[in-house]
Amino acid sequence: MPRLAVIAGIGETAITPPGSGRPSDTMTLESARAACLDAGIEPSRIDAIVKYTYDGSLSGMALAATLGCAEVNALVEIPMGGGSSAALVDIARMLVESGRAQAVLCFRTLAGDEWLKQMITADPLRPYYLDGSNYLRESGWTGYLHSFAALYAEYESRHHLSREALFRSANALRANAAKNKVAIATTPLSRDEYFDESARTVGPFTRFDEYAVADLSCAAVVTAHGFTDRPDREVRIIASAQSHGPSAKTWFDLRPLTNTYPESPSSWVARKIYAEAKIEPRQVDVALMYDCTSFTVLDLVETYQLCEPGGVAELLADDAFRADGTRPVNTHGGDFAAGYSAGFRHVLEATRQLRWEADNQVPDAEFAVVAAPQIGPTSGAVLQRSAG
Amino acid sequence: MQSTELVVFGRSDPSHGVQALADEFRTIAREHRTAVAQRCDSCASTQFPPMLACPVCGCAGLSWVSCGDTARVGTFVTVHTAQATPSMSIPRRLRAVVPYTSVFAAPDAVPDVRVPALMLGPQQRDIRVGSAVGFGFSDDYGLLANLLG
Repeated sequence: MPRLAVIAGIGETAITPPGSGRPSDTMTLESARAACLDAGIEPSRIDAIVKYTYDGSLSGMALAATLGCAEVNALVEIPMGGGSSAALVDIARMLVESGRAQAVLCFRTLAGDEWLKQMITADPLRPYYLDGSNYLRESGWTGYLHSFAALYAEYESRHHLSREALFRSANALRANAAKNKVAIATTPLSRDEYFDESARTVGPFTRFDEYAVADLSCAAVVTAHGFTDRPDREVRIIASAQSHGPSAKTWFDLRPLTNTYPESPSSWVARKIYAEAKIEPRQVDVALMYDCTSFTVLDLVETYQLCEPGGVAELLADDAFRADGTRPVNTHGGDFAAGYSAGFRHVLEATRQLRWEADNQVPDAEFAVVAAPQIGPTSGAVLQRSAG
Repeated sequence: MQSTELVVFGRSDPSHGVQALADEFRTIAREHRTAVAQRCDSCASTQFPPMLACPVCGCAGLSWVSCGDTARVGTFVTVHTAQATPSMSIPRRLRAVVPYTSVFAAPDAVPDVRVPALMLGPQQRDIRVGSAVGFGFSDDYGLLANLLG
């Protein structure tokens, strides 16, 4: 009988604006313990840890020692930036389904101000990091927003997506955030503030089109079905995949130098996970799409075939992203409005939705898709409500 | 289809690592004042940015080639502000020329790649994906893209 990997437990710290003063290492410990508690297992039973490379809060080695893990069968770091979110679940699943680990802890912690500094700091351990500076800076590259602004231009040339749609996207995510107990940006944006020319930054974006910076930590425990004594709380991982897509580049920011749009690392992942899950996109009840910008999420909705090409503007006009809408998306407000987690809180929200315990619940949710961003090596997963 | 008649500026030397390769690229581009890509000596595939080895055939024999004078806009990004934000910074030498546009253009002579160039001035209002551009070069700003026609 093949082992089926499930998300057995989730946990997180409070989400606060940046500068809370909470040390990131203690936040990691807190969320890790909370996930173990939710799974109903002692932290000592964790025997593998999977984390984002760029999470400097606590190494896997230090966390395993502090949790008192009886043994560690794997310590893994995923270097794909935001693309890592579902990849953590994918790797955990591989470990569990192969029998190499029993209980895998996955986590992401961010101290918002530290993260912003880290994003613009060269790192000698990642030599290709400088490819963005080396090849794009002279022509005016400004940072990660440049890549998504370039993606917007390619989309807009095919389907026309106005700044009005981005305004609606930002407010749709804030509206979803407002229905949750914990979120950073819940107040609707006014037209005056959004369309004020002084708010313009890069491409179609304003300073309101980026994610909400926060201090937070979130964790999940992946086990085999039946490992814990709480099978009714398990969420099944029925598909997961990673891809670097067509035209692989050496660093995320080089995505505008590719010419394969709309094909992307995410379109390759989407095909893989729908095929593995044996479901059609129309069967997805709730979509948790990476949303570092107001456009990123819209492009992923189409990439994952959750509407027709060019149809996402109509979804926004119809207010479809609501939990009771026709296409629920980022019901927690996403990283965009709830607080930036490099996409990992999307895994937690998917789990809550499928347990039917979310603050902003989609009625009768059975399938959730989690999608990481489309500009570099990336990942995605399909989760299903447990039959138990 | 790669042109076999591209002007070759000499061998690229990946043996000293990625940063040295980037430094070499900058030297070649400034010396010849044109758009430059890397071409495999074995299979003639082209790439930008340059790589340590050909990703198609694995050959380490690579050369710098000219991309010609004209291109089509693949995508572009206009920068509207000279003010940095926590997640973005404007290159210091470009702050005085905001708004400016980063253009990612597919050279007509090397259509499989895109190269980055800078567009300045009122022409930015008319740039579209697919626009025809001509390359220029500025000592202050490097490779420039100007709308044609």
